[in-house]
Amino acid sequence: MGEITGARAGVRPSTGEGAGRPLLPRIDRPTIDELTVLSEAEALRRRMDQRNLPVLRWLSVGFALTGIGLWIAAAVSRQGTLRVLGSVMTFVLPALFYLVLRRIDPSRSGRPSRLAALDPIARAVARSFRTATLGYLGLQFLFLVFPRVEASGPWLYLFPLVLVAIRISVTEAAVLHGFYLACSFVWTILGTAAGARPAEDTADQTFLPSLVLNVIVWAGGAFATWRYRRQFLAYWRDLRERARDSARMRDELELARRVQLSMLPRGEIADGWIRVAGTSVPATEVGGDYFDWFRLEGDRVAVVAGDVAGHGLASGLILSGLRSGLILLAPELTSPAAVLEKLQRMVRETASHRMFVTLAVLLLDRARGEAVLASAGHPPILRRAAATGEVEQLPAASLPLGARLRGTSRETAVPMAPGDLFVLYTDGVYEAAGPDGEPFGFERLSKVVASAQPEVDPRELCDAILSAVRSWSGAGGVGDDATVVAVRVEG
Amino acid sequence: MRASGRFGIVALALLLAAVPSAPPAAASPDGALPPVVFVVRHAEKSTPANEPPVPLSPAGSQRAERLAALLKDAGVASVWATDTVRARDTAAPLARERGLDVRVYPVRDASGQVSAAPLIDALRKDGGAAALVVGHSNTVPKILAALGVANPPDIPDGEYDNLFVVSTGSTGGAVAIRLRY
Repeated sequence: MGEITGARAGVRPSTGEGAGRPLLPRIDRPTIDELTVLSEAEALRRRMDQRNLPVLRWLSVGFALTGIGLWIAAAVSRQGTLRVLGSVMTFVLPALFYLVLRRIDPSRSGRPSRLAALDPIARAVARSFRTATLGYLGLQFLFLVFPRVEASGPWLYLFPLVLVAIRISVTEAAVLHGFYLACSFVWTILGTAAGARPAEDTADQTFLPSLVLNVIVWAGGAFATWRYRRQFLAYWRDLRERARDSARMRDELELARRVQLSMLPRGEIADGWIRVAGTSVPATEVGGDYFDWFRLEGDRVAVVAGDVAGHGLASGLILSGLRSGLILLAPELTSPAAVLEKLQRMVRETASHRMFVTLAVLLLDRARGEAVLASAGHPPILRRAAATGEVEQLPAASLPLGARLRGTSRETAVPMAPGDLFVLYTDGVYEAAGPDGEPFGFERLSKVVASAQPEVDPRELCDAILSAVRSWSGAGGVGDDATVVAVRVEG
Repeated sequence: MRASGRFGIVALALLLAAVPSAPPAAASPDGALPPVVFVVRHAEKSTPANEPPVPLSPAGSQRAERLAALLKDAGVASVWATDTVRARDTAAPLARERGLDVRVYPVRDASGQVSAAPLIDALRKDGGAAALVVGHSNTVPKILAALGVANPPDIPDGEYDNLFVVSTGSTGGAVAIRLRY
């Protein structure tokens, strides 16, 4: 009957009028929000309307063809004006209704339409679809029956049968059948007045059979509707339970996302001698990337970037633990390799057997005029020296942190001068695939860094890199968490 | 205390309390894959030819030395290479460092098709804490897939710096990470 989709509230207009084209509200693929918000009665009504829509279209085709036949017959036999007009209406009304139904059919929402002129009518019908349907079936009955009183007997029997194919409430069916019966009664009077038959014969031969037929059809329709309602509500309740679970998960993921975002540093560092900025774009609600910076004693700043293999809630939890470890070890970040070894011990003792975490620590020491880096399997840090303008990858081949891994961390020191840029990033940046699958790569990343203005702001550099990655990935999206941290040495 | 701080400490506590720790260099049970498998393509070769006797170029030899330096403390207990000079020479520095022999594995199965199955069988029989496998651009993705890595990447012809660290699983799935060396 359908599937649950995870669209957020407001993504898809529930009334169908917000998209520019009047549409019946869909119910075959309810969103989580619709499942949790819609009442059962409203859902059932929408489902019935959606089911009735194609049936009504086919009925309209049949009515229109019948109307054309009657119109031709009336014209050929030179019948009165009332009959000709009635015949015209018997195909004009269903033809118009057919076009309106096409216009409001949600399954045709993506297709172009040349029927925009019908929008005012279509909007009214979509807004009160059930009323419009009942009115249409009543009017069509009148146009078929009354212009030809003496020859409309078959329609009195045939038309009520149409309602077998339509799913409407028992009350609505009773109203329609009552209307048909009332028409039968009036027809009896008119037929008698026209002298077609003696009144008793008419009553016996037309009204009573019509009464019996309408009652039987109504009862049959009521039973079919009852079964339909029971089946739909069972399906809907099951779907709603699952939707509530999904909504709860979604809310928890959203909370986890907010918590994780709150772990990332707020603002930037702009301490006169150094500026640092970073951006992380998670691929899912909870990403596996992390970055942070720590002000240390003596004009020293440590910048870290990390990445848990994979992304999602598990990665977020691992990163959360790692961050706690880093906060506890922050005073020791003056020895990056020692911190990495302690974190490796923590991961080995505590984390899942099969997890990997890459982490890079860059210590910027103003007094010594050098940057010290240590890495655990993290992609090489980029450095653009102000003196040459060239971008180099700082050597950092090492194993990641992992419960099953053993390795040692080494520190590498490079000179640091005003104007130098350092860029830390995660694999989501250089592995972002283009439309043909080719990764963004280190070369393009280095070119973006190399082409930055000498006075570039770290925030602008982060944005430029991520913008280039997004442009490279195109509509397919980056696919993995992508993080960039840029450091500019000012003095 | 900020919510994130509480969340972090709770997560840390969960990690400490709920996840059983594993001995880092425990030998795998009989018939199981080594817990960690390092997979690389052979280093740069001296000529474009693909014949088995083609040796490594000087750059390739340097890369092999870097691989040995990177993995010397990683607990590698067995070193595997195909029966080509370039693959064996890529594996040799680490094997020498660890006092191991380079063991040759077939790249084709009984039907003559290129397959990782013979290597996987050999790894299962051998076990050990960690293994290094040296392959080729057309066999590394197959090896990764056979180890349980989902969607292993293709190795472009000009790339020699990929090091895949695979953490194998008893149920077939594996976690892998790609490093550059």
